[in-house]
Amino acid sequence: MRTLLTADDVSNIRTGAHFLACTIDPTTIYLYEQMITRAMEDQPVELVTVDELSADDLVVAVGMVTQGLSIADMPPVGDEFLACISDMEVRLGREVKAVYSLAAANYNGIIPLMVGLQSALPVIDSDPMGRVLPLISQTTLAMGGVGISPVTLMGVTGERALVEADDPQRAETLVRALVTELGGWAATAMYPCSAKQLKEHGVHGSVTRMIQIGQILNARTTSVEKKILLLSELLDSTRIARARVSHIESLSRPTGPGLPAQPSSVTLQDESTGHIIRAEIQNEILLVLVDGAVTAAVPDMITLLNSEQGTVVNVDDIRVGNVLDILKLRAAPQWYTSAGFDLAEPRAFGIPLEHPRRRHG
Amino acid sequence: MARSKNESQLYVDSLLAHGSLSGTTPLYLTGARALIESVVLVSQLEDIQRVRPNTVVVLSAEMGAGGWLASAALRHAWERRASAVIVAGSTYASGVVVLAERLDITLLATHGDPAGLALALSAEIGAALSVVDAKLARVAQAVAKETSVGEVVKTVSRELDGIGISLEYGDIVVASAGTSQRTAVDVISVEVGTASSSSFNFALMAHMPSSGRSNPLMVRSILEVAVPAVKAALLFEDLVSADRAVPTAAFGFLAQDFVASGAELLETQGRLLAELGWRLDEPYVAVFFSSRRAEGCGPELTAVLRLLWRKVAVRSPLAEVQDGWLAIVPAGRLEVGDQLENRIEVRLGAALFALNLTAGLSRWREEPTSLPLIVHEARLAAAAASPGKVLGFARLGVSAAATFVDAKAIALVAELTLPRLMACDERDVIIAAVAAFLDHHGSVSLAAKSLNVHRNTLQARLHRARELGVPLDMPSELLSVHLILNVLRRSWQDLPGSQSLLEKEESM
Repeated sequence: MRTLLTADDVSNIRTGAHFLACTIDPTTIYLYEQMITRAMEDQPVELVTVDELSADDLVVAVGMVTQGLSIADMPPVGDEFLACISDMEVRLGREVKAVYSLAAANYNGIIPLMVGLQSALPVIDSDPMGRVLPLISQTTLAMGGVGISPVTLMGVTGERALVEADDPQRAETLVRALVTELGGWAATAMYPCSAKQLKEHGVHGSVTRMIQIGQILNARTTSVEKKILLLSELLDSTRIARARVSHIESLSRPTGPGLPAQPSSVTLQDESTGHIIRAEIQNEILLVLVDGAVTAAVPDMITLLNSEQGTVVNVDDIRVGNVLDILKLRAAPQWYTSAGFDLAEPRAFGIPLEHPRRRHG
Repeated sequence: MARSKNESQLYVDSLLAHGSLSGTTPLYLTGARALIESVVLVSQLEDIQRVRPNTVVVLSAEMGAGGWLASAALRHAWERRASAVIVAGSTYASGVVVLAERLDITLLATHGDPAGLALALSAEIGAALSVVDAKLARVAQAVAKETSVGEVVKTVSRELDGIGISLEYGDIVVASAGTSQRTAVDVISVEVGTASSSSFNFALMAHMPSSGRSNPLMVRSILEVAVPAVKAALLFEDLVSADRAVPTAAFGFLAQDFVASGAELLETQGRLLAELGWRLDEPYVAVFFSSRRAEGCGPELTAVLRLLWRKVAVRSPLAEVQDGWLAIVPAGRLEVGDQLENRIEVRLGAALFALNLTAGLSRWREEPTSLPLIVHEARLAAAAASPGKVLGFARLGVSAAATFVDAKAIALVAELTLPRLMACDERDVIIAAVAAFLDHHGSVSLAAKSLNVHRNTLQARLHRARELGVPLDMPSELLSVHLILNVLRRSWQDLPGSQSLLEKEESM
């Protein structure tokens, strides 16, 4: 069913995208929300399910790839994604029929709405991650054998590039190097595929999920406990602990080659149980140990809420003394297969640890 | 801090003071002394899940760094009851130290090569183990020299810094040495084994003191090393005791046929008795042990009883005779008999009860005694005593007469003369009622009170007894009836596992 999104939906998507990756750069999400809301006054943005497209329709993923530069520090001009789609169409000799998010969380969760408004293309309620992962090779489409290339890029200064590489990991390496050279971020289009391929290998309902999360968290009169309960019903999430931040460490772990961002750790103490909680962060929260025992690990999603307001807490804004609710969400089922663990369990992030579910089935 | 008196035990605090851990930085130390038995250098987190308790876990440099790693290692090490975790000096943070404190596991940091530290610690543990081997060899040598169970137990206790060591048969302490067992917080037991299929078994026990200075593994090893010596000493002592007891056993055999008169025995067997070492002109007291056990008296029980008897009169051997065990103790003074009875009561009372034995003593006489007579007195006293009790023949009352009647013959008479009572389902209850009635001179009220039943209930049971043919209204028959009922009541009470009449009464 085709849906015309409202300004409230966009606001909720912003909150949902933030919740699913309580990580860096909320400013970018905010900027895009403002731009989209303004643009929607003249023209609606259309959300479609993958079933509504013809099986052969060409669809592409759009998203920002960053390497050390905050998008808000050097905002895009506005034509970057249109150029990427255009380059893709030229390269493939076909017309793109719809776009989907490279990752339905963080700023890449909201960017496709802007692209949809600019290009008049519908936005598909699917994505290839179901969460945010730092590498463009970490997708369910790659798991399903859908090719990543060609990847079209446009950087900070308007320079453009096109990458052809069959192996997603090789494409990741090339794109990451290019983004550095292009100025720190690049708008990209990748994973061109048929609607049928996206249907078979993608994660579906991910934009709708962000809207639903936003509806819960943005409700001003709902208590924090009620919000957590509603999130639990919606996402099958669990609260690991309500704990006070006692220590923040940086650079406690070396960054593996090819892995973006700097690692850090947060230690918290649950004041009611005495549990000591340690969260390992690298772009997003990768691992949570409770009294040293692994309680959540990627591909699980781990997010933080302010225990007083029920608002999402950015990892960068954590301060010693904050009391946080630590929530654990199950990722898409594809990530809990052997191929999924190979791509996205802690080992893939340089942490020599198997996900507990790989061992226990 | 001084190293442990026992060089075979390594502790974290000792090695921190002047051992291979002295170069490490203690981030958290547990309150309790952490024993070290092994060390493992881990390069995979999962390896910690397989370490043995009391292991020092050293995280290798290859394993990588990271506070999370130290946290997870602490958790695994805590689950495996490791002695300590050693991390690289650069990887810890206050969060990890807090976790170590929460889990109460020692956390150390090394600024050197973790592998080098693990090797040094390993060498130290190896040296300690060689001390263990040397110590075990020394203990084996020391206990092998001993020929008595008591000396073996004493030697083991001495080697273990005086902790309480006992040789026990079931719950009976046969020999013990060292500090009081009452302060023990833990007991380490090693089975000594037995030649026969007895329900009891010898076990060598170490009663670990609360100070916790003794290494339980070391104690167990020493007990195991001592077991062959204990077995050998048990056999040797039994052999020597059996040899020494030959004159007593021979006398016990000869005395069976000469119950009434010592003169007759002296006349016919005097020379033989003199050769056996008996001086018939001296006063003796006989002690007789009688068994109520269904399985009778096996050689193992004889060995145990002989070991126990040493606590009472070590110079007078105990002989196994046909229906029990006999010892004949020289008794020049009246007090000797009383002291003997008292010592048996105090030192053997619990053991006699556990073994379901009774003890009887003959009367003391100033004039030369008929030896067959004192043996007979002791045997009768033992027969009259309750299980676990010692009874002097001099203290027997008239009620003892009922003890010595032939219970089987009385039962036959009862079957013949009171057939309806004996076949009745309520037999036990009625016998108890009638016996109580006769015990209380025909007072229904007192008898009912003694059985804790209502007067009318007792009346009904007496009426029922009359219906079943018990001649309660014929004075000339009453003595016999009373005797029969008492014998029947006693024989049922003596049956192992039998329910007392009072219990039956209460459960009805």
